Amino acid sequence: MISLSQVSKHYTNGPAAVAGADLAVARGELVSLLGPSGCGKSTLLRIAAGLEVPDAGTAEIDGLAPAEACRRGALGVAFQRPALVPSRTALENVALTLELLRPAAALDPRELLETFGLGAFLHHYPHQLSGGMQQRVNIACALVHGPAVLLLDEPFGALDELTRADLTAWLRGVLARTGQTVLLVTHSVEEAVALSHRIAMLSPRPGRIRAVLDVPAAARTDDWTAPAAIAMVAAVRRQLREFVPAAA
Amino acid sequence: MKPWLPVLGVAALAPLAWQAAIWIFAPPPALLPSPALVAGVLWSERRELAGHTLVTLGEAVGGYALANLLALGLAFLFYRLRTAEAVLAPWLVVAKNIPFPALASILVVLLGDTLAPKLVVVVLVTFFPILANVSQGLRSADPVLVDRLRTLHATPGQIFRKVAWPAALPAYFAAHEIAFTGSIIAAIAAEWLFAQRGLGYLIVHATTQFRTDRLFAVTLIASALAIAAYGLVRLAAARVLRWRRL
Ligand SMILES: Nc1ncnc2c1ncn2[C@@H]1O[C@H](COP(=O)(O)OP(=O)(O)OP(=O)(O)O)[C@@H](O)[C@H]1O
Ligand SMILES: [Mg+2]
Repeated sequence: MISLSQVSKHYTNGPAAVAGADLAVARGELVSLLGPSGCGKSTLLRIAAGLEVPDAGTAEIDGLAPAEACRRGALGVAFQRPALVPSRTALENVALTLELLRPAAALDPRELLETFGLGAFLHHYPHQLSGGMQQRVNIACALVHGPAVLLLDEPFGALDELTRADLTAWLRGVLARTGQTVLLVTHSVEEAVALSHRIAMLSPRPGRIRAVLDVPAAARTDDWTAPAAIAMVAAVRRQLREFVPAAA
Repeated sequence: MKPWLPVLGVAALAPLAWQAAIWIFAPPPALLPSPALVAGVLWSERRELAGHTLVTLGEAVGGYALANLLALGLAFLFYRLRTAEAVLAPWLVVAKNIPFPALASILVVLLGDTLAPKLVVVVLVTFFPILANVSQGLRSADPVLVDRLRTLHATPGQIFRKVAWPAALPAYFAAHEIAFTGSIIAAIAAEWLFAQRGLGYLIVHATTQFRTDRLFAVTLIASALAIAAYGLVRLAAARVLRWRRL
C-alpha cells in the first residue's frame, strides 16, 4: 500500500538525510518509524506524501505516485505541528479538506469532531483550543475525506504523558474502525508498541532503516503496564541503543 | 473594549484641555482662539469649509484607492514571482525616496493645478507601507499549512485564497491604520504646495490673512477626518479579524 524502495535524499550541506530506505506497509497495517532526532523520519514521511522528491529510489502509494494519490484524495497527512488555518474555526478547518478535494464520499466534519470529543468546540478558533485539542482537530482534518492511507508525523508530540496515552488509546479506537493503512512517526517507544504491527528503527547520519521488529498482538494494548508491552518496549529500547551508542 | 471608545475619548478630552489652557494662560485670541470662537467659524463658514473638505477627501480617498490597487497588485506579483521583487527592489527604493514635493512640482508644471499631482503625492506617501505589510504578510503563512494544502492537491490559487491571503489580512489592516489616516495629511500637504481648493489651500490662505481662528477650524476638520478614518479602519478590522485573539 505504501512502498518506499531504495529511497535516498540528500539536502545540500550535510550527510544524506535518508539513505537507501526500503519499507513496505501492507493494507490495513500500521508501521511506526522510530529513531533519534534528525535520523530522517520526517523526511521519509514527506517523501511518501510527495512533498519532497527523493534523489534516488521511488515512493508509491497503492501503486501511484504520491502526487497522484493526493489528487485522488487517497492520502491523509497529519503534521507534527497542527496545520490549522488560524482564521477558521475547528469545524471550518476540517471542512477545508473537503472544500479542496470535493470527494464523492466523506465523513461529516461535525460528527467527526463530536466523536473526537470536540462537540463543544466546533466553533472555537485554533488559538482558543488546547494543544491536545488542536492535535485532534489536526487528525480530523487528515481523516475526514476517508483516505486509504494515513501519514502521521508525531501526532501527539509536545503533549504530556497522560494526555498522550489517552490520545494514543483514542487513535487506536479510530483506526480499529476505519482499518486504514498508517505510517506513524514517533519518538515514543511506548506509543509505537501500543499502536504498531511493526516498528522500523532508524539510525542517524545518514538516516538508515536498521531493523524492523514485529510487535506481538499482546503488546499492542492501551495498558502500557501489561507485561507483554513492557517486554516489547524493553526489547525495542535495547535495539535502538545498539544503533545509537550512548554519548561518551 | 469597543474600538470606538478611545476615539470618542480623544474627541471629548481635546476641547476640554484646550479650554483649560485658555483659562489658565489667557493668550490673545489671535494666538490661541477659544473653542467657542472656532466653533463659530465652523458654523458660519460651513458651506465653504464643507466644499474644501470634500475636495481634500476626494483626493485622499482617490489616491488611497489607487495606492491600494498598485500595492496589492505588486505584493501579489512578488508573492508569485520572487524574481520580480529582486528586479524591482532598487527601483522601489528610488521611488520611496523621491522628495515628493519635487516630483509633485514637476507634475504641476506639466499638468497644472489638476487632480493628478495630488493623487501622486497621496500614492507616494501611502503606497509603501501597504506594499511592505501585505507582501510580508503573504509570506507569513505557516509553511506547515501550505504543506497540508499541497497534500490535498490544492492549486497555487487555492493556497493563496485559503492560506496566504487570510494570513496577510492582519498586516494589511495594520497598514490601513497608518496609511489611510496618512492619506488625508498627504492630500492636505499636496494642496498646501499648489492648489486653489481644498483644506491645504485654506491653510495657506488663512495664514496670509492671519486668520488663526480659521487655521484652527481647518486643523479640527483634518483631525476629525483622521480620527474618522482611523475609527473606520478599526471597525472594519474588528469585523474582518473577529477570529483574532484580542
Ligand atoms: N529542508 C531541509 N534542508 C536541509 N536539511 C534538512 C531539511 N530538512 C531536514 N534536513 C536534515 O535532514 C536530516 C533529517 O531530518 P528529519 O526532519 O527527517 O529528521 P527527523 O527524524 O524527523 O527528526 P525529529 O525527530 O527531530 O523530527 C536532519 O539532519 C536535518 O538537518
Ligand atoms: Mg521530524
